[in-house]
Order: sequence, then C-alpha cells, then structure tokens
Amino acid sequence: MISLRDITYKYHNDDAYALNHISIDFKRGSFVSILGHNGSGKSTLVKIIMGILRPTSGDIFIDGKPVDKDNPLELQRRFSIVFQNPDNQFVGATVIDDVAFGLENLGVPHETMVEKVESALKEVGMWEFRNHEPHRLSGGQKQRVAIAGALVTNPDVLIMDEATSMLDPDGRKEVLSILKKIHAERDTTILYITHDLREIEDSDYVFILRKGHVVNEGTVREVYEDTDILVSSNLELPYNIKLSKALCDGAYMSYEEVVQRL
Amino acid sequence: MNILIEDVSVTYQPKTPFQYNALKNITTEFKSGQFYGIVGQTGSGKSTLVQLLNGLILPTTGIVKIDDFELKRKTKYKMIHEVRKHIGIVFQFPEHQLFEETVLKDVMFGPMNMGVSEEKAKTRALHYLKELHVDPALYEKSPFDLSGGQMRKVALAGILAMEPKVLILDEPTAGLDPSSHRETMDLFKRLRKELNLTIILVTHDMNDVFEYTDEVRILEAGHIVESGLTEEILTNQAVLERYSLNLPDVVRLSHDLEKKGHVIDPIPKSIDEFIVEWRLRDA
Repeated sequence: MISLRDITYKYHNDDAYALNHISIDFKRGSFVSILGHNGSGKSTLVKIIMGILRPTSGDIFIDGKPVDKDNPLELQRRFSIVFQNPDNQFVGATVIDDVAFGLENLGVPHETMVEKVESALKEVGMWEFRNHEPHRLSGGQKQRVAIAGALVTNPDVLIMDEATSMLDPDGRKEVLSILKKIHAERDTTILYITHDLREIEDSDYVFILRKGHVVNEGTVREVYEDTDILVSSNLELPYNIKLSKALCDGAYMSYEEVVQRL
Repeated sequence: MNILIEDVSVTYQPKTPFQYNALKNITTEFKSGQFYGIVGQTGSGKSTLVQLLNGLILPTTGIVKIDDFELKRKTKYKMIHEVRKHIGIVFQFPEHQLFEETVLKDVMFGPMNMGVSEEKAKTRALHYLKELHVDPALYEKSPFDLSGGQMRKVALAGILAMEPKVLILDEPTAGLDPSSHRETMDLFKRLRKELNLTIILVTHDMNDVFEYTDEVRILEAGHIVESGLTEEILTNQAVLERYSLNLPDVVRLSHDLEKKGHVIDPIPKSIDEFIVEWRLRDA
C-alpha cells in the first residue's frame, strides 16, 4: 500500500544524516512499531511519512504511485496522527466538537458527520463523555478522544507518535487496549512509535532505529532475541528478557516461561 | 531536617463552583536522612503535597512544621523564603528551568539568589558540577547547547549548589534512557549518604521505589491511605491492587517463584540483584 524506498534526510545545518537509507513497507491492516531512543530519527521519519518534510533522497509510493510535486498532499490525506502531549492537540470546546473538526475541514455533510463522530467515539469508549471539555479528562481519556478524532476521517494509517509516553501506567494500558481492539476490528494500518520495549507486544512487525539507521527488524520475538542490539540502541530491556538472558541460556522466553524454568 | 505535616488540607479555588479539595486532613512525618517514596494515581494529590513542603502552596488548614519553621495559611513570604533555602525541588524535566548564559552561571544562580556570595557560589557550583561528572569543557558553554542528559545534570547541580537538607524529586527520570536513569538514581542514593539528605521521591515507577526508598506513602483522592516501610507495603499485593498500583517486577517474580516452592527471603531490591543472588544459589 504505502512504501518508503531508500529514504535519507539531512537537516540544513547538520553534517550527519538524520535518516540513512530507510526502506519500510506498510501492509494494509498491519500493526507496525518503530522503536528507538531520543535522537534515533523517529520524529524525522514521522515528519517525512506525514509529508511535513521532503526526503533529501529516496521515494515514497502510494499504491505503486510515487508521491511528488504533483500530489504533495496525498500523504496527509492517507494518514492521521496522535501526538505525545494530549493537551497540544485539542481544538474543540467539547469532546464531540473536537472529533468533528477533522470532518468539518473535509466538508463532510452534517448528517454523515453526526453519524461518523458518534461511531468513532463509541469505538474508543468515549461517547458518554461527548459533552465534556477535553482538557478536563484524564490523560488516557484525552488520548482516546484524540484517537477518535484521528480515525473519524477513516485514514489508511493511524500514527501513534510516542502517544503514551506522558501517561501514567493506567492511561497507557487504556490506550494500548483500544489500539488492540482497533487492530482486530479495522483494516487501518497502525504505526506505533515508541522507546518502550514493553509496548510492542501486539505488533506484527517491528523496526529498531538507531542514529538514523534501521539496525534490526522482524517480528516481536525476532527483535527481542537480539538483546545486544536492544542494549546498544539504549533501550530498556523488559525484565523477562533480562532474566532469560542471564539465567536461562540466553534464549528469549516470556515471563511465564522464565518462572516455569527457574 | 524533620518535616511534620499536621492535619493539613488544601482546597483550590475555595467558595467557587470549581472548589476542589486536593488534600484532606493529612498527617504524616518525614524524618531526617531517610529516603521516601510517594506513589498514587494521577490526581491523587502527590504534586500538591510536594509543593506544600517548600511553601509553593500553603495549607488551607493545618500546619507544616519543618524543624523550627511553621508554614500555615497566612505565613509571610519572608519566612517561606527561609524555608526554601533548605528544601530543593527537582521538578519534572528540570532542564526546562535553565536560563543563564553559561553552565557555570546557571549553577551559581540558585545559591546567589539565596544570599550566598559570588565567590562562595562559584566554589559550590564547581564542586557540584564535578560531583555530577559534568565535563569542565562545558562550564563556559551555553546550557542550551548541551544534550538532554547533560542539561538535566546541570539543572540538578544548580539545586544541589543551594545545599538543601531536603531534596524533593518529582519523576526525576522521566524521559531518560536506561543508562542515564540508573546513573541519576544511583547519584541520589550516594548524595543522600554523603550529605545526609532527606529525599522524597514522587514517581509512578514502582521498581525505583522498591529499590531505593526506606518508606512509602500511598496517596488516593487527597488522603494518605498507606504509610510504612517500603519492604512491607510494596510486597503486599492486596494493598497495591486496591490502589491500582503495580507490584515491583522483582516482587512479582519472587511471589511467583515462591508459589513454586522456592524460598526467597528477603526479596532482592531489583531484578539485577535477583540475578546475582540466583546465580549464587545455583553455584
């Protein structure tokens, strides 16, 4: 559906490339995670995918057609994004207004809009809060409203850009379980950007980014197995991995398997 | 420096439709030289409690006693300023508070603002920058040219240079990578010993609370609902579940292994410590 081919990017006043030869394919309906620490290039990559930055070199294709000067907005139309700080993204005075904003912008007729907003808010379990002020909700609830606002335009890809990193543990669980549900029920591709290895467990495919390079990619289990890369990418190892590496011959094991083994 | 909070309540925007009781009749004590953890859900009153301890917020009713100082509803600013000389707060993302032209000047600002002479402030600044392993080549650079981790160290040096007797840390490791996280927490542990600091750590990270603190206070809806030794409260699954808090990883592991018949007593402070001890047991 959407593919990045050999993308590099360099900021004007920097010698180093922020992104080096990145190639990624997003299959329809997949849950893809991009993991990396500060300065790994995650944010630059998101900006390129969103069409906010143009790659220094490399190509982006949508359904086989290259994105270029003739259709620069094509990318934005296909993607919706939920940002890190839930307070920075609300425009409506109430939850329902906020979710409707994206549709108003696209000139959707009123009746269709009402239906779509209701179904998006029900999807994330926030319909009963429709008349609340977004700013007065909890962190997890805010991000659920933001997800509804992102989904209501029916994008091909939903980008979650460190969207749980400012939430407390409960808020984080809320958001992850909503995403799991969306992944099961819709064919929207989910692109999940994070630095937390514990959050990728539901992903179909994972990329590890370090200093602008993809240093590993594969299924969750595959990337978990190469602990050296995780450590050198300055990612915090989940404790079952620490334990299986140190006490169980080094092979990856789930927490339950570790307990069984010890 | 002993802190005694006596029957304190804090009400925001009283007598308006927005009236909100952030803390309700709290009584608790923080003793000199101890390491405390404060945990609870977002909105439980943790931040209000922290701000109470150095007079950023005054009690609506009740008294905060800090050695001989007393903070009450109508305490004058002069007294509050005195208290602040002894109580350092490291807020979340302390690097956002940097503002001076050079690293050295930034670290000197705190003590000079407290009335310390320029010369003395400089001596202290150099001492704490060294203590925090900030490269001397950076002292004359703008703090804004540093990396995130370095900026945080400089901000911290600025607070330590005021030589507080109590250090309050509000999510001090949020957003740090794993190696900086460990380095920062170990530094607090060392400083507490060397300077006999009282440390109060506010965090969601139950692993840090278990590894580093002596005592813990659990807040819920403005009340202190549990108060006691860390090793007792944080190993009590029923209590933690009641307040939707996670068991520390090493506690969960130890409990699950005990169910299989292993004896793990005492529970190690961290997963790393567990690994070391398990290897010894095997050997």
